[in-house]
Amino acid sequence: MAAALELDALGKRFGPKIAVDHVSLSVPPGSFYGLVGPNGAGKTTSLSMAVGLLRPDTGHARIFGVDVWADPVAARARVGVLPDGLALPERLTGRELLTYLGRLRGLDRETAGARAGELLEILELDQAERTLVIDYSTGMRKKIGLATAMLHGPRLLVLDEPFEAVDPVSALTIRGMLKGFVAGGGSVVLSSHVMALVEQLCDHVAVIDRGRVAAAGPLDEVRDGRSLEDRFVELVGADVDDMKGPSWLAS
Amino acid sequence: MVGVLIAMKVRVLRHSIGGSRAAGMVMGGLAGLALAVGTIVVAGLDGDLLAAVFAVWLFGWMLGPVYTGGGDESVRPEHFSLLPIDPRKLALGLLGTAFVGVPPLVSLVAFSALAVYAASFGLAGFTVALVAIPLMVALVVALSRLMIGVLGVAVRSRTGAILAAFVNASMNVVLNQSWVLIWAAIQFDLLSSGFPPAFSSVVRWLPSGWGLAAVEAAGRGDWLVAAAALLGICALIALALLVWSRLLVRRTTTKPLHWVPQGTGRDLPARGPVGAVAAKELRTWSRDLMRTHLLWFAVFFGVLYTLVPLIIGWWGMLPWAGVLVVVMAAATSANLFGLDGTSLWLTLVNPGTERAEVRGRQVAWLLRVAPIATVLTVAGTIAGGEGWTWPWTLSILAAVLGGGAGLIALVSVTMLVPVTEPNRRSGNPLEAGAIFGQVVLMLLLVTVTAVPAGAVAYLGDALDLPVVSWLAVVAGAATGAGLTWWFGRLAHRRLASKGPELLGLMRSGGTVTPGSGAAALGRAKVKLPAGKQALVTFLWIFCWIPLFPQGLVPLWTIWTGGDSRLWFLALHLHDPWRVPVAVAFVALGAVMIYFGTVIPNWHDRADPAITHEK
Repeated sequence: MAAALELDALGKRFGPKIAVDHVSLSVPPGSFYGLVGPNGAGKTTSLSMAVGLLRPDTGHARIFGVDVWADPVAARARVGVLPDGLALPERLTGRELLTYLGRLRGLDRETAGARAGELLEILELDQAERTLVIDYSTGMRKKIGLATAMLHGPRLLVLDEPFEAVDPVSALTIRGMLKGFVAGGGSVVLSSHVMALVEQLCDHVAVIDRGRVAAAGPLDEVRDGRSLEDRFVELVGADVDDMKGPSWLAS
Repeated sequence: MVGVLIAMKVRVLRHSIGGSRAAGMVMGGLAGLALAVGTIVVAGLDGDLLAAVFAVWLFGWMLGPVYTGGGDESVRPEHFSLLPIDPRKLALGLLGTAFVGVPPLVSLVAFSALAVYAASFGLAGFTVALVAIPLMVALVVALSRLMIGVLGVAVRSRTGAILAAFVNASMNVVLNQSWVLIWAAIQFDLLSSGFPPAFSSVVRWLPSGWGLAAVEAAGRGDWLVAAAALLGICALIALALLVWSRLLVRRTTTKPLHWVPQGTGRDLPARGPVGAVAAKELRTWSRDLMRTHLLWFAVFFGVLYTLVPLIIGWWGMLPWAGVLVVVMAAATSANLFGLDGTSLWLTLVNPGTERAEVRGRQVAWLLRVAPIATVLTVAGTIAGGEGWTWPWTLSILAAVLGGGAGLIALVSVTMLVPVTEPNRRSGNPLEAGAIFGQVVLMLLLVTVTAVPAGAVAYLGDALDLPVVSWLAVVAGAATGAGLTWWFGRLAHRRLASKGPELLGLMRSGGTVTPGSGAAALGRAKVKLPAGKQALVTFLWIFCWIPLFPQGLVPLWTIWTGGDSRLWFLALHLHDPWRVPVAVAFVALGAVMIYFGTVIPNWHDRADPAITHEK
């Protein structure tokens, strides 16, 4: 069976800076895959290229065997994406946005309306019925973005920092939803900075550092008997001194 | 899919139409309708002229979005970048949304002039006209979308921003200096002798004339040409859609590469707080595409504006190129704080830096504008001026440089217009926000700052005392420096006291929350009733006609003893009526501006229930 998501030597350069340097990853179907790395390591760039939002300079990305850049229409139909800093039609309410996007995804009117209602209810956005997306808080934007990713019932979700700025109760709801999705045979790829969360949720993990894959595989293999945080620090070669800080700040 | 996209756009429009937008739509629609009816009238007169008018409609559609700020972006391609939709289908769908609105309807009325024209070409011509009319509307809309698409991709680079500024400025100059073109037409005697044959064929070879050519061919029974013309229109629409869909893919799958900074920034702290802000600002002026675009727009505007009259052999405007650049640069820079978006918080968390923030911005603006303006003024005065012009141009240049530097600071903190955050802009410098009102107000205010210097120069000429004339330069420099200092002081005091409110205004942008009546549309804090809003819009749009072309320009012409009358009413009268009539027009314009400003304020005060917390 084809991998849910396969990154094959993806590369991207911005001017003189190499943002992503031949990243290859394989996400098995039914896995919960965590992507971790320091700020600016190339996580978002890699994910953008993998889902068809940024054209790579080199390499291929495949979703269930479909090449994202050769057949973008078929590939996009199989994946739900929560991009970083997503553009939304700001002057629609959450329900309107979901209904229209559902219709554009090819759902009929009743299904689109029913799914929009259910997602709004689960994500507790139904109280904000009269609020336009432009007036949403950061967490609410994350949640509506998540809802747009799930709307068409994809078998793969690619989520960039899904828990950032989301309140603890909503975070629990989202975790429950994602766990249920994976238990039902779906695959999730998420990027995060919170090691504890990745350890709890994911069964596979990849560490990206300076545009390259530093380690990838099942969680226990990558952890190698230690905590993910310790292993991460070791992999990215950071020199962590607990007491380091600006000299004038402590005194 | 087209249906869903159109429903989506209608819903977005419903949520964003406030009082002023609705009034603007009504006013624009009426003005457009008048032009469309005019086109139908032309159809009864002359085929050549009709083809030319159609060409104007086409160019209006292609350049209009540039002029009004990047076109309609209520439904953007980025919103659909994740959907499994073929780009060509998406382009078709987005084209469908482009037909929603007032302008396509108005254009349909305008192009129905073809049916009127076809009346003299028999039934065959009329049938072809009925086919050609919707095709022509589709053609202009498709080419307009294509133009926006090209600009949207091109303007993501610095060169592109400057080019877009050139196009934008040319468009403005043509609109503002159209009297020169009319004058040239009269000089070359086009109206009595008719158009040269070359002109007739050129306007028919343009895509805008293909519908007309098809009707004429059908009338002659030349079906081959008629079919070719109609198929040509279809092919051009298809081609435009194809290229546009390519551009949409480019737009949603590439990131604009920002100009890589060359400096190190190490020299910043060495200059004190004002110097640091000025250094930061100078870098922003060259690195922010929107600012690059606005600054170059002012430069091109001033240069082209004074060059156009050379067509009719009038060099007298050249000395004023520099002054025009300054006035326009001040007008487009008056949203200085708005352009930086919510980065104002940096100033708010550093109390006491407001003064440096304002002064630094003034210094940077002067450093950017003054050298260009001075060079243009000197070169222009050498080329087109005379001995007596020097004190005029130099004194007024000094006055508007100082007045502009003061006013941009003051207006940007009192009339802030919320703009898309710099980090959320699509890279399109045309998204400068609804600054039209601010720009026209600034044009007027900056002009007023030149009055003292101009008065002294006038006195010098009237008394024939060169010493007094040259004193005008001193006066200009003095008022300039004084205004820079005084307005800057008002600005940094206001920034210190109202900073949080300004930040709040930038955050909220202009939204109409469904169900609630309160809107936070830029400066207008309270929604006016539709009638009053329409009146205010009318006053702001039309006050410039009595003020400039019917007031100040004739006064200037009387003063310089020019003998061209054109459409300036006062110049067609005899003394002693010429000056009073022109002055009366100026007064009328001023009164219109006054009421345009105070009506919203009255309403503000009359409605204490609505507070300004947003």
